[in-house]
Amino acid sequence: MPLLEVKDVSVNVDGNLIVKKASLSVNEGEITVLMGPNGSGKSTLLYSIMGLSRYKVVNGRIIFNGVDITDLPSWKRALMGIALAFQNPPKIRVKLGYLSEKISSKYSSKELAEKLIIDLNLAKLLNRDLHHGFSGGEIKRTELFLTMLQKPKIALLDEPDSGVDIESIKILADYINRLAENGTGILLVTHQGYILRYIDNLGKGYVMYNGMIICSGPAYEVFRKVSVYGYSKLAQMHAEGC
Amino acid sequence: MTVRISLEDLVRKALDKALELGIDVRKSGSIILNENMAFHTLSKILEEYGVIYTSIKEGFERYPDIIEKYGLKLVTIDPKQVDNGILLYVPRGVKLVDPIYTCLALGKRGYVQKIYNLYVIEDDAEAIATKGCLTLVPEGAHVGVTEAYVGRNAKLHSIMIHNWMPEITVSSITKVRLLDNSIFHSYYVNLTSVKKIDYGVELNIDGENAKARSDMVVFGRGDSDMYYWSEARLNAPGSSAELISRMVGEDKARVEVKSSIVSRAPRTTGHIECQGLQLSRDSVLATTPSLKSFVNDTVLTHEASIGRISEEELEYLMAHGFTEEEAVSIIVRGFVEVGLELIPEKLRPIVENVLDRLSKSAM
Repeated sequence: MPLLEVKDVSVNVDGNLIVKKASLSVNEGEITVLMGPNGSGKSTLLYSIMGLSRYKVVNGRIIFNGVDITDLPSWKRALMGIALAFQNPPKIRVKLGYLSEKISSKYSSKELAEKLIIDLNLAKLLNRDLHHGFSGGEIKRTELFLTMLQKPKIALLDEPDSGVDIESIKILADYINRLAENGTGILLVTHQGYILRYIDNLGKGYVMYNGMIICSGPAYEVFRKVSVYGYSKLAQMHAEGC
Repeated sequence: MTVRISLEDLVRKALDKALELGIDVRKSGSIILNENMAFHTLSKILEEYGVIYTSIKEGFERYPDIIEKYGLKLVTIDPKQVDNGILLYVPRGVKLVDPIYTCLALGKRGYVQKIYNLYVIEDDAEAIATKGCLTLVPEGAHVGVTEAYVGRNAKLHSIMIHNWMPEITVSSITKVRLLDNSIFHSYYVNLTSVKKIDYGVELNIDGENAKARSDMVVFGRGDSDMYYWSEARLNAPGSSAELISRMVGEDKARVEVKSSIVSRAPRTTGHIECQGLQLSRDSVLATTPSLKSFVNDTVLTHEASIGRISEEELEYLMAHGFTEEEAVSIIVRGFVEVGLELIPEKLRPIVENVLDRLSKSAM
């Protein structure tokens, strides 16, 4: 049984239907990839899985670990083992060090936090307000850090490779691989897919276009198709049976 | 039936209440209960080094030379009108690494407590003065005037925690004079609502390269009417000042903070930061930063903002497993975390504990 199942989910945001009857699944320890052009609804789907209140599931169900979580608030989903690394997280006037203490006291240990801070080179950011003046790479590393502190069963990673240099992409990919090695199922959203070159345990891949899943298959194969045809062509092919 | 409460009972209550704030006067300090110094302790070693820590009443009688040289220079008050207060004198070169705790307590219903404190930190000396102001009765008033002299190369930390009740009226003013290369840091936080408070800090930076900073963390709660001001006067070359404030508006509280820096000397710098976080629809927050320069070799800056917690911030924290109440508490705690790194290490847990309590109860 998959760890996470999204079944025919439609998502409404501020009165607009953004995701239309999307279905996908994520297995334990596997990295599932969701690709698509900007504005196709990838992030919206992720936020609805996390349960952010603006993202209303108006159709379908979300099943996590055998439990229907469609109507649960985000904080309960987080406590059950779902974590989200935001693509554009808000700036919050809370010191990173203070927040990481709060999160690690809920889910993990001070020791893990200390280790990750060293590994992800975050020590100099601890006394700074969260994401205030952080570079693109620092934001991505911080998001991954806070996600890993939650020791999630499922990690939803929203474009961890956008706006970061190639060195940082390699580092981030390394930590995503480690998360999966420890059994975390990962739903990785990526626009360009460069990060997939460094990802080890790829599972299924999906392409979302105009709010719909138009293509699925082994992630490497899906990435190859996207690279060869581009999203618009794939959408046309979908109409003709992708 | 008349219930008689002894002075000992009141002192014990005041000690307990001060201890709740983390202010343990039994270590080194005193309690001024109404007009009396009801409890006092100071290590013999400090006395041997010439440190004077006593009631201002005794100060007027036993140390008229100190009073005449340093006292009543920045404020105009009639000593006869003063109920009591404290005199802290730290001689040249003596560095007090442990805080001295003073608890100013109101213990008589309807009483108007009139306090005058004088701190003298001589050249090359250091001190950490911690004050907890509290009440054991529901109604009354506290009028506090504090004057501080910080000598050349001297350092003074002043930490003040207010713990009043909704029907208490407070007027408090602190005036400081700094000489060459001296450092003054003042930190203020209030725990409870009041009927009305007028609280001010005036920093007269008269010494070259002297530095002063005032941090105010104001929680407006209940039906409180709260007015805070701070003014730094950069009168000497190379001097600098920072006036930092954080206001949190809850319930129907009205909070106003005015901060001003005036520069009259070259190579000076000043910065004002006033920020407000409005948690309730019925609270009113106001802030006015003001900068004035009489020289062309100064850099004065300010930033001011008032806002509320955004949905986005709440959603972000809730997605990390915090309930809405916990998320608000975390945001408020982060918002008021200011100036803590400047507080001496021994006192930091006390202030952090107060901020934790305040943040947890914010909603």
